Amino acid sequence: MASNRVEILLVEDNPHDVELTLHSLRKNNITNHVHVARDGVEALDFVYGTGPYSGAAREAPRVVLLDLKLPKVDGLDVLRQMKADPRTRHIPVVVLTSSREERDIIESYKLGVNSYIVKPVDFEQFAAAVRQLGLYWMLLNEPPRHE
Amino acid sequence: MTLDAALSFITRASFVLISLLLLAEYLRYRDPTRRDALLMFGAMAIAVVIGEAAPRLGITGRWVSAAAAVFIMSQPYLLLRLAHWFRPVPGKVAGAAIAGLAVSAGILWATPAPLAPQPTVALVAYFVLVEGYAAAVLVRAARRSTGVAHRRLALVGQASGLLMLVILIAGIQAALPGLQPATRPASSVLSFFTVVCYYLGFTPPARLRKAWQLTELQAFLRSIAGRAARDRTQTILLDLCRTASRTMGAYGTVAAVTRPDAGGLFVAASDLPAAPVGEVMEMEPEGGLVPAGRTGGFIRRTAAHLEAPWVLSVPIASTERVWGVLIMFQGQASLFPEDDYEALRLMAEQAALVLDLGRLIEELNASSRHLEAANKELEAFSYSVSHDLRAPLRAIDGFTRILMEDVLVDPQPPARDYLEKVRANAQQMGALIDDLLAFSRLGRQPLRRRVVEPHAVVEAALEGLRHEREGRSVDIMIGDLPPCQADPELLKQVYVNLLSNALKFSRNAPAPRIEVGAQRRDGRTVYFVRDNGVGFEMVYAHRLFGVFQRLHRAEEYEGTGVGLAIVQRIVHRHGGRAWGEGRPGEGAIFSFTLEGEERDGQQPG
Repeated sequence: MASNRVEILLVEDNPHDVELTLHSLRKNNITNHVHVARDGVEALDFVYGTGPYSGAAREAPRVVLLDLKLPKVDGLDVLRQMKADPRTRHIPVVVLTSSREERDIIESYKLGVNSYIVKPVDFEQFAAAVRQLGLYWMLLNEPPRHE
Repeated sequence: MTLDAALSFITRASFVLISLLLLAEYLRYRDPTRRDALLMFGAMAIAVVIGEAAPRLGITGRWVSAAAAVFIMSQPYLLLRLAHWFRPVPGKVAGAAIAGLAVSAGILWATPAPLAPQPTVALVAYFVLVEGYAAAVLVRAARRSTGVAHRRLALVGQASGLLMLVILIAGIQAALPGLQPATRPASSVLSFFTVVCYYLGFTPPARLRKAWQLTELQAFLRSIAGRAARDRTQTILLDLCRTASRTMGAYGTVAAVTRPDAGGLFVAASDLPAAPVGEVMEMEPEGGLVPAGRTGGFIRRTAAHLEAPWVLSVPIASTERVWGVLIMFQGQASLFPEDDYEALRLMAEQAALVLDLGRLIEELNASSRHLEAANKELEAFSYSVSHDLRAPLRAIDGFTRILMEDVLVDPQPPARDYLEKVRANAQQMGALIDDLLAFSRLGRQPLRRRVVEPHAVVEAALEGLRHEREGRSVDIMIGDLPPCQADPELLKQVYVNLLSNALKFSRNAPAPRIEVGAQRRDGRTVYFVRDNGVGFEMVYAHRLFGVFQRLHRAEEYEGTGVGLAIVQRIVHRHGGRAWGEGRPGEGAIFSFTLEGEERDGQQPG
């Protein structure tokens, strides 16, 4: 059902960053349907409908906002698995991370990330980035229709 | 005096001379092989002396010439005794030689001179046979050995062969007197060469011996140069053992190495079939050539097992370190032991040098592996530190903002000011983290030097600073910048920092002007960035390049104080120097070189 569909999967372990991101999304009326996964395992369970999420079939989110430094399973591993699996390869993944390291950027693009955003320290810039992300992926970008 | 007579005189004089030299050597070394060499040569010398002295002293009589002849006839048997050191002469042959000598002596004594043809032929035949046999043994021994000993043995063998011919000719002359005039020159020349060969073989001049040794050493060095210093110690030592055995004609060679932890030696390599590698030697071997009976422990057991009567030990040492001992098990004594010892010592020394080199390379590799690991650790540490330090800053800035916008909605001073200060500090800390990370990374980054056109680098730097120039009209002049050898990425960073400073500090000037140029000074190119901004007092110039050092108040000009420290670090890594000059209110000029400061190998920073 469309109203229950999770539009954005936010994978982030830092509770403050979660709160700030949700605040910005809400501020801009992007969407109400955000699911937060606190580590890589939760994220994969959610995407594949396994573990605590097994049961009702669920539509794929319109975008995944993925932090890189996660406990248990790392962000890059989540990205690798999602892009390797034909069931989830089409889901847009946007890496949203503090890391500006060249190797993280290169590795992410090698694995097929759709976009790489560095979280600014400045909140205004951060809020602007989240707004732009939301507007772009929710409104401008055309998602694939999934059977 | 005819040439013939001259030759004859020289020959005979040389015989006497050589035997005197041999006597001196025997008295010095007192070894059995030299004793037999002395006897052999001495016999001929005595014959010569008798032949020369007796007429002059007026001693005549048939016995004089007979005595001289007997001494000459004893030479083959004495040569045989010498050859015995190299290849055991069968008892029958030796016995026959002695018997023949006795018979010859008897004939010479009993019959009056001159001898009849038949006895002469018999005597000559005996001489030629025994001498030829002994000479053949020596030549075979020479062929089997290498090195200086090889040459000397070959010469002695050849000399004996020539002597054989001389006696043969003498016999022919006796048997067929008509041929005497024709064969005399040949006889003289052959005699002369005989003595020359004996001389070079038994008592070669030192220079000649050195020349031979050098040739041998060259051949060994060539073979060992093929060995990579990286080869395991054992491989190099095994090579040494094989070469040594071949050179000396030994039964086998063992290379023993000092144990690093405990004292004593253990066998590191050997070319023996049942190589006793790993076995510990209780006793240190005596240096030089030693009869097996005088050794003990492991060496004695091995010598007994191999049935080797002689043991030669040579140190494997360089000036840096004593690695161990090379021990050779030999079947025969050397005729010229000090030559062999010297050649072997040199080879062992070369092997030790290769081992030294190998050890140095190993240490260097370990050192650089260690450094690499440390670098990686540092990199990982600073990466995670910067990441983890940035996250709370975002929270501080973010929640402060939310507080201001959504909770207080329209904050009034002083609340607004305090909250702005909180945000500003969070920003500052973010900038500090970035700059510090860049600064620490600079020290570890590899320097990739290329020929660089600074003009392009400056343009790129200015492009990156475009947002800092927005809204202002700054006059930027770029002069002639000669090419340099530098890392383009790092050079760009130098210019970014210097230009950023120039822009920042000329912000309040009425007509801001920045000049980028270069000068030639003291044979070096000095690049500079000049501005007409706020300048600084030279009194504080020494603090310009310190980390976090600032000469202006933070509220006047923002910044982390790391920019110039970064410039200095980059410039130092290139081998150059950076410095600044300024005048308050008039501007500043920052200069740097990219070479020329490495004179004593010390590079600061």
